[in-house]
Amino acid sequence: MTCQLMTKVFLDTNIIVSASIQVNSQKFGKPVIHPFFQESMHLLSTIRKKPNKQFGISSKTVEGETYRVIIKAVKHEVDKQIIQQSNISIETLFDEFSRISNVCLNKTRQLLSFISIEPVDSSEVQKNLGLVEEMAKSLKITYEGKYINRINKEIAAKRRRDTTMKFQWKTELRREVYRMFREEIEREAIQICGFMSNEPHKNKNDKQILAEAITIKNTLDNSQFYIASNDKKFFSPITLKGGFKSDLVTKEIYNRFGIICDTPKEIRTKI
Amino acid sequence: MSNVSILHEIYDHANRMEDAGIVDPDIVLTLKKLQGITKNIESKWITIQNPNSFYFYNAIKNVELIIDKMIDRFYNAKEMHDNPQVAVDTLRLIPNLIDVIEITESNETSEEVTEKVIEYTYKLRNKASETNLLESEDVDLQGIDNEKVMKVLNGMVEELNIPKELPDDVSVDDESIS
Repeated sequence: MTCQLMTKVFLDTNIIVSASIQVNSQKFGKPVIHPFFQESMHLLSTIRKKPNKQFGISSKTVEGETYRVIIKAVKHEVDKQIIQQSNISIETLFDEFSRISNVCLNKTRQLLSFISIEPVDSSEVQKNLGLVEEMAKSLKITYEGKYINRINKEIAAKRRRDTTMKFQWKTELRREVYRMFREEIEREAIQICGFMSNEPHKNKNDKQILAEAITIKNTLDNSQFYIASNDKKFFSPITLKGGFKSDLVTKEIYNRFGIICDTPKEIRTKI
Repeated sequence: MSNVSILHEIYDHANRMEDAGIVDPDIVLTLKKLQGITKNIESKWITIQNPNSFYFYNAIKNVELIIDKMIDRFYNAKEMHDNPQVAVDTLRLIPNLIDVIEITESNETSEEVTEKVIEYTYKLRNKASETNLLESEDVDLQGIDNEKVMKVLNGMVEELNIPKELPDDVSVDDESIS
């Protein structure tokens, strides 16, 4: 008897906020033309059409963070207005922008109603957070030195030697092969360098979200579990021109936790 | 009478209505008293020169809007056959209203308290949405043009910090081949 895999797509904060911006901007006449927003909206539309209500899922942390991003963006706009217009009425400004934030959040709430906010056992989340921290530490130990300039050159030189030593290659060609490997290493390093530049503080929320996703995944028996995210320094691979992927962190998440992280565009093709 | 004790009064009143199954329009007077209090708290956050004032204003403004809707539903409960559902919905919302009023009455604006007020506002609006105590979008947007809404949306785009296209060409040094 074959056992069918259950598919779950866990949505990261940036997907919900992007889709929310897209829906709101369409309503107010100027849709945001950027694949980042359009793809997030398309993924949510795909999820909405699935008969299983729990196809698209998320967590309380993501829900709360979504609200925070929106209200902080509104506040940012309030601050800009105060600086730009010194004689502005604070009362009118606060009143109008408070009501605007409500309208934006109403749309967000509507979008969230199409996905299931899964409860998580906080002690399990803490346990999994420990595993995520362990992963971050291991990534740091493995790659921190590897991609700084000197070692980077050594790796490229080794790859070049491995390729060219069998034959009597001309210097020109050897240089070309070396340059090719240097570029390859620079590219594969992009994601991990971004990840390490965010360690530890800027990665804190992403780690929490990953720990919650792992906790939810562990409660499911047999599932294909995805995290849809536009955050390419933690979750999703960076696809460069020519199809090359910089995805050392993404691969590590998959290897350790069995979770496939990708952009909304890629996930839409898989579900 | 303290502001939170007015909420306890509203709670007792709504409880009695739920038990009796009849809406008592007198509750509107107490709700209007509470609305007066929320206006005072709003004024305080408008005058206080604090970088986080907007979050506190927004929280208490939402209390005012929710009470507006509550008053409207109590007024029309009989005609709309909203009796005693409006009393039940009010009861469900009281704990969230207490949280927001207490935190906005205080003058504490540390980062921790600001994060709390953001959280309380979000929980209040979620609960108000579940209990049909949120104003409609048309009411929210009265007198506000699309351009202002778009400014906020653009602010969100900035907040998201969209990654720019990554360079395809990576320039590298030549290996010194000895």
